[in-house]
Amino acid sequence: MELVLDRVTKQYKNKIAVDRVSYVMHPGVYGLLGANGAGKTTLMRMICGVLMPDSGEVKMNGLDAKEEGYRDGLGYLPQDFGYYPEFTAMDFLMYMAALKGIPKREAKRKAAELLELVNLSTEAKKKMKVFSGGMKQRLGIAQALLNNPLLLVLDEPTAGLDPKERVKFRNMIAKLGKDRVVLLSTHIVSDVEYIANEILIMKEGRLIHHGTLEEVISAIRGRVYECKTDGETGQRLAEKYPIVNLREEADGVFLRLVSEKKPCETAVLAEETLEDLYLYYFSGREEKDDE
Amino acid sequence: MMSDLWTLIKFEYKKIFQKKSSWIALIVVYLFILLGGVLMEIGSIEAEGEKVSSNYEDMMAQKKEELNYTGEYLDENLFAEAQEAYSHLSIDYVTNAWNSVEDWEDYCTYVRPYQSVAGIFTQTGMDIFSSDVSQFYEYRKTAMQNTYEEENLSEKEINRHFKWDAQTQKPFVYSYTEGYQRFAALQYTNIIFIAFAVAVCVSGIFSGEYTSGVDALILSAKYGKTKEAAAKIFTGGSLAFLVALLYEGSCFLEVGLLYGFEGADAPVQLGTALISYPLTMLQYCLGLLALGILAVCVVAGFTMFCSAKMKSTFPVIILAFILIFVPVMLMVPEEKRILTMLVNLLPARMGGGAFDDRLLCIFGSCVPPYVYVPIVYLALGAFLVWQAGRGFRRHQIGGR
Repeated sequence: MELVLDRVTKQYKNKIAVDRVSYVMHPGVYGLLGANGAGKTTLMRMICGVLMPDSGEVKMNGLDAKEEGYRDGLGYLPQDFGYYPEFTAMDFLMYMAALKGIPKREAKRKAAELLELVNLSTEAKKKMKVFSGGMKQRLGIAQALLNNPLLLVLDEPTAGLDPKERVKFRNMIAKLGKDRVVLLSTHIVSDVEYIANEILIMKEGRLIHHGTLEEVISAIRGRVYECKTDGETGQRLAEKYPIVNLREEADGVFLRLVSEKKPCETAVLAEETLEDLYLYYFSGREEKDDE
Repeated sequence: MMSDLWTLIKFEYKKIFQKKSSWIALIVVYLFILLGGVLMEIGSIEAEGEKVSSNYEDMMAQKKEELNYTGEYLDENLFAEAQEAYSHLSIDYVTNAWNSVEDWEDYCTYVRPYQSVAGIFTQTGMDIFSSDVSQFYEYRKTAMQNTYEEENLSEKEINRHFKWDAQTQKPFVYSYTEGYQRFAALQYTNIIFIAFAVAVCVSGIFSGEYTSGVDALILSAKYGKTKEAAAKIFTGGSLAFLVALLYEGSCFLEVGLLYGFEGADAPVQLGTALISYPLTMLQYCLGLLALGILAVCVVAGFTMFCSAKMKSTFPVIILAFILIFVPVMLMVPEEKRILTMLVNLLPARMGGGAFDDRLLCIFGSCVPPYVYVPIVYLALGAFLVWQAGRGFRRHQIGGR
């Protein structure tokens, strides 16, 4: 199983949303991290064949994203996906199953199984219009898994889920990644941190960094500091460096930040995390730090 | 596999009938059509401010009287009888509010039995009170010639029309044909409203997916761009066909039950005296029914085409509304034949345009509208639904 992105590009008027992205994915979980407007959703749409790239190719096991055979192996959960308010949960899954070419008997069995997996069995006959956001999201995850896809693309899949549901979801995805490509984009760094085999950092349409967790956060090794200081110094540091955490305390201000060199006398090195890296890249302050 | 397609079609019907707007449109239009079939017989006739008869009683009495001379020739003898009957009226029109009971009784006794005969007579421009009744067929021919010239028909077309006219036996044999005439008259409005109801139902068949955000799920699925597109088109087309068939069929049955099915074999000229086509009343009505159904299907095709191209459902309904209703108000001068022929192709004009005099002369033959319009509709409909499917398949999520 291999997903190949070859110089995939998408431009809207004066903005290049995705800029010659090339990458090869094998079975495993891939976390796509990036700020709003980085191009993640646009890239995912092109991978799912619902948006045509201006140039470049997307292929899975040699099949182009335009082909029916490609879509046969695809499961997609878009960001903000729509639904039919008057459909029950079972109706919705049966409809999606029909769209995926799953025979009726198998579809019923699979739908029941997935509703159980996402904790919606008791809601199977309820109309989707009474579902909460989290329930709809779980149903969305269920429909993405109906055809046992080789490629599972999840765009912000944990949006609307409470912490308990998010943990359950993470564990489910980790298992799924064993024999398929799972690509998930999220702003919730912890979703990716615990389960992704590889992390892709996307900024301004480009993949600026990729690798295992260890590999990507090595970019900021020795640059994460924690310090406690007075309010005025804290303010000055906050303006100059990417701040990961800022906490007002009784005797001053606690800061966790990313810096090339020790930012103040009281600063001590801290163990870097993926969240540190995310803020380093996307806080908009790394240039000031470079200066 | 076919079962996949049928499952998808079932879900498309489910989506349409889960919308309140679909039910409202279909029910309101159905009631409108049923009401239209009986409207003329609701109410009463008054004389000197008092009710003397219901419209229904008057109609039934007229029918009974006219059935008496079914099978007789519409010749100078029958026209003379009608002229003599009308001479008893002190006023030169028939009304629902008579100034005197005496006029009403004169109408019932003398005029009512010959009202249809007089109607055929006066369609040629002759006066039932004073014209020479022996000249009806000559006058009719002249009236037809004048009409063809006003419509800028070529000599070839005019000759063709008179050849067709020659195929209908003269003098005409009278038969009571009120049921068919009422049905034909109702087509002017029925087609319009049925088309609008169908347009409301299918307007969101593609655009509804875009606005609801389900398009990404559909288009990323195996059959999303293939069988699903076909299922949507089949659903829209079949819904249009079935609704039109049911509604038109209901109207035909209702009008037939009310006025009777007599006169099926009578010449269409008993309803439209100046028409040349050698058709019976039943053939004429079935032709209108079939063309009406086709017209509704074409409107469905157009609506689906717009739905696939537009981002939301509201502008689709607006465009369908324009297509359906604006032509009703279009006034095209008779001498502008090409423009008239094009306007007559529009669904809203099918009630009158289907049997218009203007022929399509190609490859040495002249073809009447009720022959070439179905061909045009089928070709246009096929093009529109092909484009609709293509538009849906090429729809880009997040494309700007």
